[in-house]
Amino acid sequence: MLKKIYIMGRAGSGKTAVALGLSLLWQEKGLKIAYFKPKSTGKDLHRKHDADALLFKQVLELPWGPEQIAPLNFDPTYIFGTPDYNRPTIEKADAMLEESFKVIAGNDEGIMVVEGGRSPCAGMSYSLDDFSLAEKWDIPVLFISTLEKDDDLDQIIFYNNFLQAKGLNMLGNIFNNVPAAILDKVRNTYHPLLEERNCSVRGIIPAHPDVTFPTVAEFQEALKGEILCGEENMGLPVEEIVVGTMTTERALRYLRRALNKAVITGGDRSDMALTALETSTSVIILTGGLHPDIRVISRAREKGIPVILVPSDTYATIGALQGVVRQIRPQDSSTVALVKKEVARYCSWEEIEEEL
Amino acid sequence: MSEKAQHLSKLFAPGSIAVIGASQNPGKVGYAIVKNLLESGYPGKIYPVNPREKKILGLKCFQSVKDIPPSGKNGESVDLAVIAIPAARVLEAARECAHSNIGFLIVVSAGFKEVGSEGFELEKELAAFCRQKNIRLLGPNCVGLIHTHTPVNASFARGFPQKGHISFISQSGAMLVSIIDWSEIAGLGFSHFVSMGNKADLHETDFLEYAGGDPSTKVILYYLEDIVDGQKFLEKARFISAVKPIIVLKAGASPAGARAVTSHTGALAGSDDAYNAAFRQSGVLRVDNMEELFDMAFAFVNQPLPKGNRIAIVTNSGGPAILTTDQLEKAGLQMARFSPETSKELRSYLPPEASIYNPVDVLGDATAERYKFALEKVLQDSEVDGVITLLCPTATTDTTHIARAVLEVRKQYHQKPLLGVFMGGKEIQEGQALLKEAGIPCYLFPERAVAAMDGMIKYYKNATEIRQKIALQKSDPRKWEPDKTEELYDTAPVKAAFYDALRERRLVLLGHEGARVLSAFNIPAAPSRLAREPREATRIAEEIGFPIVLKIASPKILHKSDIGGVVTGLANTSEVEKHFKEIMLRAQRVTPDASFYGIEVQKMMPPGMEVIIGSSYDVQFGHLLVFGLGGIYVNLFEDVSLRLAQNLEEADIEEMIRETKAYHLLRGFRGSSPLDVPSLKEAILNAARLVTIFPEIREMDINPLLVYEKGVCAVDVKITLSHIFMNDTHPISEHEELLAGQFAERRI
Repeated sequence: MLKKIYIMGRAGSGKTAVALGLSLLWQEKGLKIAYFKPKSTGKDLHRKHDADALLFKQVLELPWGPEQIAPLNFDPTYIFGTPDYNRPTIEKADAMLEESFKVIAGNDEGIMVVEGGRSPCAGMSYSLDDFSLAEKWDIPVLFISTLEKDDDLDQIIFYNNFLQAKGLNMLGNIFNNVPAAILDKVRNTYHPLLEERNCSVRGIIPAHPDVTFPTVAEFQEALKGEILCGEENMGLPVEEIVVGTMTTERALRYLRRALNKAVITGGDRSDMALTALETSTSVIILTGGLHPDIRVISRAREKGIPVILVPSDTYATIGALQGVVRQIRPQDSSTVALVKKEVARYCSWEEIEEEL
Repeated sequence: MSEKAQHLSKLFAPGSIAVIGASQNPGKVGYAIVKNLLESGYPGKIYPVNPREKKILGLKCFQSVKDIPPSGKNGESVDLAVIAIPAARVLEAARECAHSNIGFLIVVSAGFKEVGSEGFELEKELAAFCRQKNIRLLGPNCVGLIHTHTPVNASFARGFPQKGHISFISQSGAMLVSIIDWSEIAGLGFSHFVSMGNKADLHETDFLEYAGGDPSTKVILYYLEDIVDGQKFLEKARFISAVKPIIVLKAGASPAGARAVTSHTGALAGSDDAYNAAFRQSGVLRVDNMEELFDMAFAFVNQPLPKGNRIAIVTNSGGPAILTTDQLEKAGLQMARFSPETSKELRSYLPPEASIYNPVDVLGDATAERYKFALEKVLQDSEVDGVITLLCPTATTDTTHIARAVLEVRKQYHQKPLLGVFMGGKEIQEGQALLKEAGIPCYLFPERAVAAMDGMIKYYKNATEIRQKIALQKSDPRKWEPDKTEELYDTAPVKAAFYDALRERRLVLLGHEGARVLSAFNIPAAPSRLAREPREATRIAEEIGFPIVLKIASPKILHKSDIGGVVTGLANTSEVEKHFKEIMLRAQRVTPDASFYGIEVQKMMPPGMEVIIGSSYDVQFGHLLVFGLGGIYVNLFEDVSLRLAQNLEEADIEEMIRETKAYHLLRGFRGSSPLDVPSLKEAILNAARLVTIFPEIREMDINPLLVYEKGVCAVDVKITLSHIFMNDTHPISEHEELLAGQFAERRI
């Protein structure tokens, strides 16, 4: 019999990474894996297919096409319609979903992993939210979230209660990308509290720069700048952004404290760029369309650090970087392996499977 | 002279020189070089190379360096090739030189890294080729070099300087050609002129080593924009400055200037503070302008060094003498107090209106005899270390006669420096020229004389101290060398703290980790532990004892008190619990995105004097150490002194403390008791060793360190580590096994 699991969670919680890690582990165990993502985001005029659909198809060697794996587009403006179809109707969208679901749930054994939308509520106006879909298809739920503050904890409890009230089978929670600073608090304070509130915990995954943070490539996608060097290292993670507008001596303090950072500075600030290159820097973004001194490029090339030139000013550049998130790509084989390793290490993936 | 420096002596005294790109055309650089070589009286063979010429300036011209026949009885090849052809063809020429076994190249051609990426690559290739072939390269993009003793002028500068004992090594070719031209009217002689250009291979440290061992050089002058290998330069400078003065004009002292230097040289400039500290500790004199550079050079070459800082003034007018006194005082020099005998003798000879105390005023109508008498007496006085003589041309002043009298005195008393200041124009010209000719620096105004005297005094003091220090360090290396001093401490807790931080992907240590590090290096620190929740905080508070200080623990927050992240003077557990919650709330509100590790519970120490010991890593020179008035006053008063941590020793620390205003407070100010300076010194020394033994520390701030009547205690410490150790090969990983038990992976 085909087992099913619905992996849902809030935006940026790292659902895809957890789903991928679990799928890989189960696949390795000999289970046949199917992957379904009812509501895609990020398909647009430039991108024909859902990135996660492509990722799973390729990594897990799935037989279905990406349009079957992720049939509907649910961008934040979905109510007006999307390039996929005109203003949707419940019937039409529902029919499309059902059709694909049937195809992908066609296996008679193994596990079907269903990944939720960008938020569990997305699509609620058409009753196509994750709660409704999980209920309709009767799939047990694994809830993924980040957990940094007490507020997060309350929301997690709310979602758990809501799912339980809906009569859904709750498999439990996985906390993802937990910063090192609060790892102890999550383990020793939040965890017992959640168990007390009948919310079971299936994993606490510490933040890892190679999975948690966006890469230089993702920054470049948002900036669409000119890559002056370091093209071979666009996979470097960017943990922080430091804006270099002060004197280098003052900036050094900040530059030294920030790990794997993007440094945004004017193209005419070769001093800043050179100083930044001596600290932990993943990318230098030069603003104002000003080409830097050749020695900046030369040093960056030596160190293998990408330098991106953008025409916009510093303020606009920072604006463009808002909302850049990490997206795992099929070719990031080391990240794929890492995701698997981290899920194996920090989550009770075998127990979850047993309970399906 | 080391082997390498000896090797360079051939660059300055080559047996034969090829000029690649030699020209018939007087407007070309290739013409100027051949002409300069000929006119300098160069005794070796000159081989112009140009495939289109047969003869240049009467010399046979060769098609290629390969065509130059071996010379000498052993069939030696050419020693030096000066290349003056377009950049794109230089590498090919270098290949031919390598083929002909030429050991030195001077590439005057421009068009290398100074022009952009293509030139940059070209220069890299050229330098790599020379390195591979064991060829030493001067330039590219340089003017060339001059050695007046060989003599050789392998440059395209105009003119040839007088023979002398000053080596001038310049990163700016323009500066060099201007100085050659000026030196003629200034009457200054040189031994070497070197234009380093882009410093693709040979740089300031190579020439320092050479000039240090060169007998024709008495003073080494530099114009520098950056230093290629700061630590190496200092290491050499330390030994050389103990025997001959090294004077540096370092451009880029202002932030804007530093930026200009970065774009000019592409160097990551070290901070100007670091340059100051580095030069000072290695005995290098730093000057602020060209005038000072050559004023000092002239004084050093011609005058004996003053053995102390007691200066006498002999003048014929009051105003200039007062000005000079002001300047001396400002420079930290002393007005000499004459012995009673000197005063008595001056009294007996000088007119009753004359001042017989320092400054000695021989009055406006002074004759040459009067000057001579006064100068003799003050120079004889053992209470005087140096003399400045001032002259203003009154109607009765015979400047020339007086100048001759000064020269006579000089001949007889040549143990102490004697500088002249002849103020005026036409009237004093002849006298001034007479003095200069005889090697007595003579300035137009007092400021320059005082600066030169001050430079000589500083140099003498530094050189003496460095000699003593070198002797001391040789006697007990355990106290100085990082790998030896390491044995003095239990470094395991430091390694563990660093390991903890790096494995959590933090570059900044938390306060309690910092305290652990300091304690391991015998710097007392207030007991401190991390609490993650209020009950843990109260438990820790009870264990370490009240009163208690709570501090938010977050590497992201630089100034904890600014966001209300610090509460002091908590007397009981309920206060601790209450304030734990309040701090968390405040911190969360101010920085909603920051993660907090918890709150540090620290023993509150009784009040003491607040000082700072800090350290920052400088790209050129390594760790700098800062001492000064601490707490909130650091930024307000900026009462700090700086030194390099490497080789820091007790005398430096003493001096460091004395330089600050904090010193007066430490000594006991207005009735307060003196504080424990010996413990403070020890803390500074330990801090210096900590950053030297653990170079992964990029920044450290112990602020404040409380100084008591007995003992010191660090109450806040910030340590930032270098990211370069955060990878698989970082040296800390070797301790991983040791710590494995302690930090076993926790799984849920």
